[in-house]
Formats: sequence, structure tokens, C-alpha cells
Amino acid sequence: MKLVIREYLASLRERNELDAILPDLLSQLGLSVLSKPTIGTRQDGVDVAAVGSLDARPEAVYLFSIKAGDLTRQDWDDNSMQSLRRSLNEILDSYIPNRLPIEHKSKKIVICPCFGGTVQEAVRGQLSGFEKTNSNSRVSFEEWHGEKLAALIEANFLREELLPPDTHSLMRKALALLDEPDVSHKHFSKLIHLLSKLQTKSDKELLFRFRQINLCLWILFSWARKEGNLESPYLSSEIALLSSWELHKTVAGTTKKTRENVTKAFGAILSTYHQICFSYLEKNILPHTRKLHGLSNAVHSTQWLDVNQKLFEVLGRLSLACIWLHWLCQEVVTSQDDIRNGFESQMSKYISSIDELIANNPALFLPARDDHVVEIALTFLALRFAGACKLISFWLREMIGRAQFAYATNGIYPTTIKDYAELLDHPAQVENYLQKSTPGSELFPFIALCSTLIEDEELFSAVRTLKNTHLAHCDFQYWYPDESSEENIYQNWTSHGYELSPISMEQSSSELTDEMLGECDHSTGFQELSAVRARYWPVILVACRYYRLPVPLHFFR
Amino acid sequence: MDSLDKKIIRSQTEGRLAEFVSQEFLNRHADSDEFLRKLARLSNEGHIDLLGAFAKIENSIAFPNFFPAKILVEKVLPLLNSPIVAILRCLQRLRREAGQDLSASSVFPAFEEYCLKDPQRPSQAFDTIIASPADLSLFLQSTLRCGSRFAFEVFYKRAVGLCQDENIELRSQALSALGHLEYPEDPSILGATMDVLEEALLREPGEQELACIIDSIFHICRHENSLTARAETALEDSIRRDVDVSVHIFSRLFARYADEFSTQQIQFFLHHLRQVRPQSLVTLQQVDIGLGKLLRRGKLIPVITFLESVTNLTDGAISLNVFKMCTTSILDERLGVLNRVTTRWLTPGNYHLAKSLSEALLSSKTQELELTVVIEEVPKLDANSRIRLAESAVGFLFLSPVLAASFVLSLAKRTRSKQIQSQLASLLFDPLMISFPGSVAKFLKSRLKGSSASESLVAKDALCQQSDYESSLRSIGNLPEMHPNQLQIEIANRHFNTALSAAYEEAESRSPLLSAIKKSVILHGAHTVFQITDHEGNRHRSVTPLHLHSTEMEFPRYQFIDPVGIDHMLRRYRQNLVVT
Repeated sequence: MKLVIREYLASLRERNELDAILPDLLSQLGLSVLSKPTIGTRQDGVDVAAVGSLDARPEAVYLFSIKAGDLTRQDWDDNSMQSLRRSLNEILDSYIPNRLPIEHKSKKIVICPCFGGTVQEAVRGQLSGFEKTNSNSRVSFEEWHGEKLAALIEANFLREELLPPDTHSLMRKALALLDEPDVSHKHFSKLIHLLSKLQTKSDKELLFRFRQINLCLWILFSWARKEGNLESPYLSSEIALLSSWELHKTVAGTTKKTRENVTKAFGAILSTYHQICFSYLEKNILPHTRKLHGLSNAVHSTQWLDVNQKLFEVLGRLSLACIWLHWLCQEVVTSQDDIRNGFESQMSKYISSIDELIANNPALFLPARDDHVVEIALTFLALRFAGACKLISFWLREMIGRAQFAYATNGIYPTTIKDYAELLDHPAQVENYLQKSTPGSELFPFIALCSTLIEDEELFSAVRTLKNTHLAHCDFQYWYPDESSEENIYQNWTSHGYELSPISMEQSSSELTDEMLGECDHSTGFQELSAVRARYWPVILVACRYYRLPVPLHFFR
Repeated sequence: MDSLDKKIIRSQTEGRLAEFVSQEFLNRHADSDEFLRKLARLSNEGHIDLLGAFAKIENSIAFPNFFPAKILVEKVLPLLNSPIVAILRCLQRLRREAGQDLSASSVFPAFEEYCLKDPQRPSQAFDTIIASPADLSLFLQSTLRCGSRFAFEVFYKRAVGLCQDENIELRSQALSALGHLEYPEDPSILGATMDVLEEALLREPGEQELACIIDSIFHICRHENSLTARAETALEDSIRRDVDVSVHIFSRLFARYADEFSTQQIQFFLHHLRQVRPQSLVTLQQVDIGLGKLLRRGKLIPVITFLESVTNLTDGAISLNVFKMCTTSILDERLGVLNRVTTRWLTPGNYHLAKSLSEALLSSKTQELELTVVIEEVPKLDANSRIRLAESAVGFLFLSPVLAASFVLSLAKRTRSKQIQSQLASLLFDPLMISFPGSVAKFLKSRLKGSSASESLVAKDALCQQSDYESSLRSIGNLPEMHPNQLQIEIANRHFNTALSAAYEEAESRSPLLSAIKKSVILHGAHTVFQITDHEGNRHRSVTPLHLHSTEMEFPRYQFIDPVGIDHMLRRYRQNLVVT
């Protein structure tokens, strides 16, 4: 396991990665973290500061200056702002005299150059020389290299007695099978499931559990990044987030401090989730949305089904990321304009990518599966937040046009079949196949609702014609959460919520809107969802995407 | 008497004469004539009852050599001196047992050859048939024809007399015989015969008689051109009485004589054959044979006009796909009609013909052909119709991409319009080159030199678009996150292999070659060795090297990146030809 951790540490970048995991480790070691890395503020060489006692030694202030990977001659001293020597000098010249909190001024100071890898031989002499020259009775140096960090992480997070049986083996399998993402994800899900269902006796243990989940997710992410396949971490980050929320909501009744700490711990997992999502999109999707058929072709399959499914999945992920960015702008960032602007410009880039993705990958004009209503709803939501109603109208009109054509010509029309092997034969030449493969639909009533929300009466009429012409047998319906949803939505223990059915297309567009959105008033289970109450509502959307549940219409009111 | 004679006689005693001589006949390819003479001698000398033996055979699994036996009888017949009754009974049996087989009627020429050997035989046969019309009436026409050679007036009168007989079989045979007698060079007799046939037509004949009347009117007219107008009137009258029967007989005559027909006859027949019904498969087959003959004579226009007319009249229920021989002739490069019909049928109003032509092109081995527009076939080739023609070509010939591309490219000839050139290049690129990057690009590269400036320009533009497209795709590299998962890959492979094996098994079951030969599976090695025993019992070692066979398929890329979209696009292009 130590090898696994060392590999993971060596692959971490400085910003948002190594410096994100270190505070958790220090907290777990019993130190109090005084400061964490922040962007845009002067640090005077210190990335993380903590105070406390390690290994039964007297209490001291620990000042960490973090560098990613191995310490090379260049990292040590290349006259740049980021060189370690410069950072250490800043600590000695500026941080210790000027910024050390007054209550800790009397304590001994340990300066810790920290890096994920090792110190290369070429700089060993210079680093030792520097440490010797600048050590005195008050200030000492201690190297925190990959080996030491790995040992600490293993001892404090992943020790056999701290984990349920099989956890190590599940972690190793998840890492070994990264090139078969669904299998890797299956093992990782089991691991998360084991970790999250453990009975916790104290708040400390609960915090510890969050840190364990975050660490495991980080290890998986860093390994996958090195392997060049982020599929397993993407899926795993969703289940980690949902399981963490399940844990998070259990602290609702405890003390304020505990709640704050747990919220921070959940925030760390959310941050890892965001990092994985954005990495996935930045690496795989965004550079290629402009290319005609680029991502369709990248599926590398001669099955239309693979292309269709994968593209809708990608669209859903991209839209969900947009929604998170919108949430970050609305809910998290309140004052810092530069950060807010950063999120807004990222969101605007993502919205353009949705536009390009749809335009250049025509498979997105008609899903093969009715349950891709999830992705369509997420995209609708993202585009609506961005005010891109024109694109929605164009996209959905084309979708209904193609559906009309596919039903009329027995082409590849949306079906409720989910089994992959069965879908390969779709549409099968079997008697009454249309009736059997389209007994119900959530996709078309949702599009009908969208048409009224964007005030496109023609689109509404087209859905009505489709229903009357080809889908008279099909029950139009939509799902709503109920009181049991809070218990089940994050872990999908059992079936929950209810369907509004049948939804008549004979009524006017306004009557349909009243019926579908009006039902939200009766579906009080939504307001009772802990993620909604805590204003972490995108967590619900992650659950919808992950467990294939229609997006609650409450989001569209 | 040699040993074979003895064997033949012994086989009769053992009650297996027909089996034995049929097998011997099969075994003696080289000296079959001598064998037949031996059989005739033994029969004529009374040693064996050859006809008696063959008058009992059945076309069944118990007698597998039925058809060789029938050939044997037909060949030996002229050499026999057997009584006419025995001859007729034996032939009647063979005719009946042959059922619907095409060779069933070959007993009649054999019978005629027998009759012509002796002037008495037609009279004897006539009497025998009249005495027993229920079984033997089928031989009346042959009898009357042979008799007319020896005694025209006698047999002509007999034929005319029987045209009003109470027995419908005799009546029909007599009506039919009137068209096939050995007439003397006297137009008045043919005129009188025409009178008889016209009268018969007025008597409201049944289907069988009507068929015989039509056949005879046609053949009388072949003897005497001056009767053409009367014949045409009578034939048109026959159509009014029963379209289906008339059209069927017309088709038979058309199939048989199309290579001799005058322009007027071609026009007359094709005009009436348009009334053929889609369900009349045999009639359609006959029409097909005739059309093929006309095409080989270079009579393209009447054939095309007929096909267009019959397709429109039946709303596509009858189209090119029904006429296999005609299609083969159209696709025959040597006849040089393919470009003309392709151009013509890719214009509005010819949806069904374009569809069946494209299907024929796809299923034929003409994939390496190239098509060229024939400007003369398009009355008004302005910018708009040029693009619509190109779209129609793409719509119908999409699955034969090189054919489609060559046709589209040829539309660039004789145009300097940048807009048309650009639209043609765009069509070549999307959907053809996007779907079939290999074959279409290869074709276009081959046309960069040696073509007209405009064609080269369009080809270059399309190739440039493809190059940009492909390099954009290549720039993505490998994104494992986008790949389907391992389980899905395995399911899809299994699905594909199952479909492929089913198709392979079906193809095997339909293969005439594989149904006739024994299949042998070789487990190891690069060649096989087997022993052959020759006629003299010597064994020879034969070595057969094993070869690796493979085939390539280019699946259109659009089929998996946008199946509904490409289907919609192609249908839209094909709808260009639907006249609303």
C-alpha cells in the first residue's frame, strides 16, 4: 500500500493537490492547521502553517513550503518566484519576523520543505548546506519528502485496523483495472460503500471517514491521470460525493463546530469531485467540441448505439459542470470578483462547448434511450441558466423532427429498453415491437414542458402530433420525488418517488405546464431533501445523472 | 446376340428393363447412338417391350433416372416400328409424369419426328386420338401439323372441322394447330384460316381457346404480312375479352420472337404488355426475356419507354427489379446504355426506376464502374437541376459510393460556375467522403489528372475538405474515456458474429455449388493430399494447395455516427424524383 501512496504523492501537482491533502494529514496527526493555501494572497513562502506536537516532542510551529514531484536543481534555485530556496528565504526573512501569530512567537519553529517525490542527488548538498547555515536554537528544518508523507498517510489513514476488511484489496483492484473503467469503478464503489456504512462513534471518527474517502479518491484520480484514463475517477467521484453527502447529513443535529468541520470535510470532497470533473472535461471534451464528428469518431466503435449513448453521457457531464459553475457563482463566491469572473468565464466557455458539441455531433439530435431525458434536462437547465433559449429551441425542434421521421420509417427511435444487447437489435423486426419498446415516455412530455417554458408553441404542437401519430399507445409520464426520496436518493437503496401519469397531450400548453409544474406543489419531498435545504442542490442532479432518475421539475419552476 | 443384348433381355424378365436401360444409357455417353440402335432392334424384333416398360415409370424417388429415361425414349422413338397406340400411351405417360418441368413438352418434337418417318402414321395417330381424346388430345396439334405435310387439304379440313367440336380439348388443339400447319404458298388459304379464327373469337371462347386463337392469329400473320392489320384488330379484340390471358400469350410470343420483330410489332406488343399485372410472375419473366432481346438489338428507346410507362402505371409495383435479364443488359457495359438510363431515371418522375436501378447496381458486380451524366437526356440542365441531379445520385447510389461520386463529378463538366462547383464538392465530401473515405478518395485522386479543368477543381476541393476533416479527427488521438466498456465491446462482437454466421449459413444454403459438392473441413496444414482412382483402377496422388481468402467491407461512417440523420438526408435527396 505504501508503494501505491508514494506513486500517488509523486504524481501530485503543487497547487490544489499536494497542498490540499497536507492539511488533512496534519489535522489527522493532531496538529492545528493555522493557514491553508489561498490564491492571490501573499504567502511569504508558507503554503501551510500548523501548530502542535509531533512524536511526543515539544509543541512547535510547522511551516510548510510545498513543491510537486522530485526536488530538482531547477526547483531549488532557478531565480523564479517559485523556487524553493526563494520560498525558504521568504519564510526566514519575512514570515517568521512579520506574520507569525503572536501567541506562537515563543514556540520553536520547524521549517518543512515538502515534496511528493525525493530530493535529487544534484541538490542534496545545497539543500543540506542551506539548512545547516540557517538552523539555530529556535529554527530547525525537517524534510517532508514522498517517503515520509507516504508512511504518515498509511499509518494515519489507511492502516489495516482503521479500515474494514478487503478495503486494501478493493483499492488495489480499482487502481489495477483503470483501463477497464467500469470494473475499476465497481471496485471503488464497493470501497466507498464499505467506508461510508461504518458506524462512527464520534465526530472525530466521522471527520476521519471523510478524509479517508477524499484520500482514496485522490489516489485513484492521480493514478488514472498518469494512466491517461479519467473515466473511473469521474464515476467514482460521483459516488464518493453522494456517499459523503449521506454521511454529511447525519451531523445535522450535532454541535455547530462539528457541523462546520464536517461541512469543510465535505467541501474537500466536493472540491476533489470538481477537480476531477473539470480535468475530465478539459482533457477529453472541450478541446474537441469544435471538430466536426470529432467526439463521435473518438468513441472508436462501429455501433451506432455506443456513439449515441456516449455522446449523451458527455453532454450530461458537460451540462452538469456548467450547473456546478453556476452554483459556485451563486452560492459560494460572494465577494471576490476575480474568482467569480473566473467561474463565469469558465461557464461561458462550457456553454459554447455545449453548442458546438451538439452542432458537430448529430447523434445528439435524437437519443436512442428514453432515459436520456436526464441529460436533456441537465442541458436545458444549464442553457437556461446561461439564457441560451434559442439554442434549446433549435435543438429540441430538430429532436422532435427526427423522432417523427424515425417512428415513421422504423428508424432508430427513442425506446425504454435499457439492456445493451437488446438495444443493439433496436428496432427489431418483431410484431408489435413499437408498442413493446415504447410503453411509456418521460422524454416527450419533458420536451413538451420545455416548449412551453421557452414559449415555442410550434414545438409543443409537434410533440402533440408525434403522440397522436405514432405514440397513441404510449403513456406520457414524469417522475417526482416524495417523502422517501431523502432516504434513498443519494444511495439509491430502493425505488422512491412517484410518476405523474398519464400526461395528456390533448390539453393546451399552459394546461400542461400547470399540470406538470403544479404537481411540484404536491411533491413536497423535494423541499425536504437535505441537499436542497442545505443549498447544495446540484448534489441532487449528480444523483439523477448517476442513478438515471429524471431531473425533478422543481428545478424548472 | 451379344452379352449386352442378353443382359437387356434378362432385365425385362426380371421386371427391371426401364431401370437397366436408363442406367446403361447414362453410362454410355460416347456410344449412346449405338446403344439406342440396339434397343430399337431388340424392340422391333419383339425381344423386349420397350414402350410397355417405359409406360409404367414414375417420376419419383424410386426411379431417380426418370428424366434420362424420358430422353432415351424421345431419342429412340424415330427408330421404332411399334404401333401408334403404344407410342402415344408411353409418351402421354412421360408427359404427365414430367409435370411442370420445362422439358415436359419435348415429347412433342420427338413424336413429330416419329410421325414424319411414315405418311401413314399421322392418320393412324389422328384416329387413335379421336377415339380417345380424354388422354391423347395433347398430341392432336403435332398430328395435324405432321399430317399437313403429307396431305394438307385433308388435315386442314380436319383441323377446321374440329374447331367447333364439342370436346374443348380437341377444339383448343385444333385452333392452335391452325397457326402451325404446313401451309402452301397461297394467301387465300391463310385469309380463310383468319376467318375461322375470327369466328372462333366471336364465339366467346374460354381462356384455353382464347390462348390458342391468339397464338394462331399471330403465327398466321407471320406467314402472310398482308394480314397484319386484321391480325392486330383481332388481337386487340382478344385483349378486350380477357386481358390477363391475352397479355400472357403476347408475352410468350414477345419472348420468343422479339429478336425478329419489326418496329411496328415492337410498338404493338410493348403497348399492350404494359397491362401486365405485378402478380403475373411468369408473364413478367417472358416480357423480361423479350426486353433483353430488344436491348441486345440496340432498341433502347422502346424498352426505356415501356419500363417508364409500366412503372408509372403500376406505381412502382412493377419496375426494373422484376426484369432481371433486361437489367443485366442495361448493366452490360458493352451495350453502353447505363449512363443514359441512369441520367434519365435520376430526373423527377422516375423514383421507382431510380430505386430499382440503384438496387441492381448495388447487387451487381459493377462496383468498379464509373458513371457519367448524358447531357442529352436532361432537357434543361440549369444550376438548380444540376445540383438536384447530383443529390439524387447521392440519394440513390449512396451504397455504391464510387458510382455516385463519378456521376456527381461528371456534373461538373461544362460549368464554370464557382457556386455549382463548390456545391458539388460539398456533396462529394458530405456525405460520400465522410462515409467512405477510402474508395471515394481513391477515385477522386485518380481524376485529378486527365479530367476537365472543372472536374479537377471539384475533385481537389472535395479532397481538401476531406483532408482537413481527417486531420481534425486525427488530432484528437486516443481518448479511452470515450470508448465503450469491455462488456459492451464483447456483446457487440458477439452480436456481429452471430449475424455474420447466420448470413453465412444462409448464403451457403442457397449456393448451388455447395449443395452439389461435399464440404470437407481441413484441420491443419497448408495443402491437402488425396487419392483418385481412374477408370482403369489406378490410384493417383493429387495435391491441392490451400489459399487464404479474405474480403473487405467499408461500412459507411455515417451509419454509426448519425444513422437517423443520414437516412433522412438520403430520403430527402431521393424525394427529388417524386413528382407532387
